[in-house]
Amino acid sequence: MAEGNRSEAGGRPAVEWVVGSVSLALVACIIAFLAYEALFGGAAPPVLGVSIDRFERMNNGSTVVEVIVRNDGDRTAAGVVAQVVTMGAAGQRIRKTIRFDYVPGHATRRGAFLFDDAGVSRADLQLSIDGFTEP
Amino acid sequence: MQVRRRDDYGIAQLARDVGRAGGGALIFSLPMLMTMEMWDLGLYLDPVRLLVLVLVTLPMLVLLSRWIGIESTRNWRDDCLDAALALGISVVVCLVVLALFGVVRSGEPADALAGKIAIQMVPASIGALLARSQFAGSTGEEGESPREARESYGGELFLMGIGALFLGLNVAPTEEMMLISYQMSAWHGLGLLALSIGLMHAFVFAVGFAGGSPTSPEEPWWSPFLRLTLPGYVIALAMSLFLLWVFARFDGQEAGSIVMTAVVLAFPSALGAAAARLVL
Repeated sequence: MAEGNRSEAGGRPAVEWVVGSVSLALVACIIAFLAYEALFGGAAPPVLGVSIDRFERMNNGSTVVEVIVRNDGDRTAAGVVAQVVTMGAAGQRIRKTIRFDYVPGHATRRGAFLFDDAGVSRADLQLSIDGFTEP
Repeated sequence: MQVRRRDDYGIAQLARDVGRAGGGALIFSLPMLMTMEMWDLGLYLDPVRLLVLVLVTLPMLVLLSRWIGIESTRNWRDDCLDAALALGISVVVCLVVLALFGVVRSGEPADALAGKIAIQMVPASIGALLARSQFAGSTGEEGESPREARESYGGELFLMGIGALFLGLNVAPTEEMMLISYQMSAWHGLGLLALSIGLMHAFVFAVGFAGGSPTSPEEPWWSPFLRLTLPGYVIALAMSLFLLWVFARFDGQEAGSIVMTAVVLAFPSALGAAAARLVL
């Protein structure tokens, strides 16, 4: 390091102080963010919803229904069970579930229901959340 | 400093270096080779992310080789060869161990095999290169000490990055990282951040372990704190963010969860960064 790049304090190169100052600013930003979350962030319980993202009939006659589970609450939900109920081509009731390990607050998770029955209709799908636990 | 000439580098020495590197690769990667999440991640991770992980690792290995390679090297060509040798040894070690565990089987699809090995060879290759720094001392061999090499400020930060990457890799793939962050409040996050920085500073400067950065008695406490501890924590945090992105832990997450998870992973990464400056 050239002598001209050294600061007066302790003879340390100026670049060390610049890197240190930038790091201080970054850490301060994270602390400020966490402090804001701690003081003013919400603590609302999980508010869960499930919706269809994609409905597709496969070549082998089966049907794939991709769903998105969204948590609009602040707290994380664990063991979230999404359920779909529909009627098959023969009039039988079909019920399927997916379990998501965690759905954090204000976050989404994706999954898919698989139906062997080609008679499943998108309009007949009834989606719901069965329940959840605390992490 | 005594530098071994390439001409003098015989078969016996090569075998010893390769064996030492293989041992280092095995010791450093064994926890990850025996972690279920690491097997699964190799199967479903986006290949682009795996590629980025490997591409980021390559220049780090070359730089690491410059300071603490398998053999003493003094030019970039040798450093590249050294890094390539470490990667090659790591691939073999990971392949053999995963095959013995029954994780890799014959008839495995090529992309699945590549994914499983690629994700494991990163920590293993770091271990292969670090083997020299850890094992060479007992044989009384001459070579450039990393302590000499890291005299530069950049060297200090680089070694912290290696330590953060290595320890971060150990825990980043586990479900527990996410679960811990979900159980924490923002207050917990602030406390963990303070503890991480405090321990980092105490590890290297206040406790005065061998290998700690020498600071003059006249230097105020905040000088090394500002110049080394805070940049070290930012490096640990950056490594944590990078690893969590590679392992797809941010998908579908909002900013608060991302910051919290990064702070959680930055805890072991920061300790890894601090320990790297003591151990290497």
